[in-house]
Amino acid sequence: MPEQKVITLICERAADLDSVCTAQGEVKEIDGLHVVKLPCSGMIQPLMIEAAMKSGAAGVIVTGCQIGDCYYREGNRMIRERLLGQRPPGLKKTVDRRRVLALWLSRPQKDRFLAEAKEFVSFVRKLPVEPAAAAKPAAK
Amino acid sequence: MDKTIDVVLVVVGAVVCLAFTGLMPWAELGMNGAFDNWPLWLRWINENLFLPLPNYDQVASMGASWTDYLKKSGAESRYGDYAYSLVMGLAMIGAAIGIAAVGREEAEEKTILPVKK
Amino acid sequence: MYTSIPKGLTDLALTIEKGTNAVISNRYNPFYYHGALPQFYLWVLFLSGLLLFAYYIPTIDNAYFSANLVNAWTSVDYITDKLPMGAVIRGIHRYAGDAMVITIVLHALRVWVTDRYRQYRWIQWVTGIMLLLMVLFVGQTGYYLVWDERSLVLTRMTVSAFDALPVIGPGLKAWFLNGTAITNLTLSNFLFIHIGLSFTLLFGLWMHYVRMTRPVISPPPAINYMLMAVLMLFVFAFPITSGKMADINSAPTSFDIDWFFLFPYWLMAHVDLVTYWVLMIVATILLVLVPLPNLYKAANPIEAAEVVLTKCVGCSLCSFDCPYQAIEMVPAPAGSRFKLLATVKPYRCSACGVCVGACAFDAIDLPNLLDTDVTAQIRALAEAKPSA
Repeated sequence: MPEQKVITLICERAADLDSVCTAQGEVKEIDGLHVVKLPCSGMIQPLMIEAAMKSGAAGVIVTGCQIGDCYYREGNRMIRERLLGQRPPGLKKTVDRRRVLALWLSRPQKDRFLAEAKEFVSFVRKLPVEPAAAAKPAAK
Repeated sequence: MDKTIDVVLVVVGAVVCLAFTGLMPWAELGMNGAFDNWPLWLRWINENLFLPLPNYDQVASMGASWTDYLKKSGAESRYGDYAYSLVMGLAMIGAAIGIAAVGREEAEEKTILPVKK
Repeated sequence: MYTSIPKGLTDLALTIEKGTNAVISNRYNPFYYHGALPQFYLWVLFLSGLLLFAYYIPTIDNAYFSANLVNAWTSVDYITDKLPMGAVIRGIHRYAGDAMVITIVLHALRVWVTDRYRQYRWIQWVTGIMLLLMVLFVGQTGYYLVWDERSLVLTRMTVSAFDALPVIGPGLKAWFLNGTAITNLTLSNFLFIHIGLSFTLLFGLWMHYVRMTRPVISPPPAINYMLMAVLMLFVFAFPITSGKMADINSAPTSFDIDWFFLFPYWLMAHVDLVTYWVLMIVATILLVLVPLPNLYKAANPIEAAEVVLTKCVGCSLCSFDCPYQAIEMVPAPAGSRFKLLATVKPYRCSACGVCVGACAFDAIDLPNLLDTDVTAQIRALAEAKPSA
């Protein structure tokens, strides 16, 4: 079975992954982990996470700067609150919450990112293949 | 492992805060905790209701050296006020360490979304 | 990114920050509250100043050898030596002022090192410089109020500096002395400048904050305790003392210098007055112009977000979340199904995309990074077959 992809939506000012990525934005050490850079983690729409899942990604890692430190003042707090459902728009109920991880790491913290990402990638790939079906009985 | 450090810090912070808070009345009495210096109403309560007053004998020598230092630095009177400021500052540092050790747990570098039920 | 800052400095700042986070976590990292630190000290100054104001007497009455002399110097002396906790309040007021200058400078440095001072933030930088100058001047007037020999020297130096200015000099001198010579009225003027200007700081702060949504103006309690404790330790470690009472007939020449507030006087003592003014004015203009060069050759030119008029439903979410108050909700044009319509003020926009993340209707876009493109890229990546 081909390994499922994992997508990282990352703020370009958070953990600096340039040195560990290929030119296409794939993390060298972890197969199938792709990096999509945005100007701020606050730009991430919950819709983007849903789109990734629908297209067959095993999981999504959201990465912003350290909470409290945002170049644009509050972008990372906003996406954090959106993911937790405290600020509209939030994630749809059908999205499997176990397949979303958020990391808040400053520029020099790429090692922490790699360690967490490795663990997360192997975790989501072991989850049952059909996330929507697995989550449905639990969802009201 | 982090947890034990935090617990130790909370305990240390609390002890420091309480110890220096306990010194505040002593400083306010002019670094002299002798019975005659206590306010009248406290002395009355002590004599009539047998409420024990704290005994500051151990810190008397500290008071002398602090007064010497203040005199050398140019302070002219009310040395107890300066001492009050010092012990209150130290108590606040203890409180800050304790509070920060508790609050540090709420800081996050990683958010795992709660599974919806 | 960060191209306008020397690389070593950025790296150093990031390393310090990382270390601080490791020890006390991002929740208490003072680097994430740097703007709130001087604001906290401002409240401390207001409160302690209020207590001092209750006992301060702004006169120079100089029946010099009389026994029951009541003037500025003796009232400060009374506060320090007789009033319960007077010395502590006075010390806190003095050291909070010093601490405010330090924290303002750190704030400015951090903002500069992290590249957060230019383009759409120019107004914060310029008002910040103005606020720093005001704080310095307010602090200096505080040194006049004590009315010891140092105050007398400082007053005379200030008068001669004003005198050296063409056209506006005589007016400034008369305003400063509240007359033509040092009298009782001079001290009441100093007190008015000291208190009046410090309240004007609030107006400056309003301009400093006006374009920011939810400005961070109070540090967490643990940091407040720490900031306050530092002052109280200094009160004990370096008790505040006055010099000798000023005698208007004497001509004292030297004094202890407080490097946080009185450095202009050091400069004044070492160069002639024309050079002094040229240096001060040029330095101020240069500081104000710091954001300028990058306005014109910015590394990341800003293309403001654009509202897709046909899709906007007027839900206001983007305008709530915009960190720079760049989105205004206006009444929707006639014939629309909705009441409101979002409009972007391009000169305030930072192109951060927070509004894109806030929009559930795909109705706002960054022109050079469409969210549809990002979503398409994500889909393509997720569907791609693994490379063999």
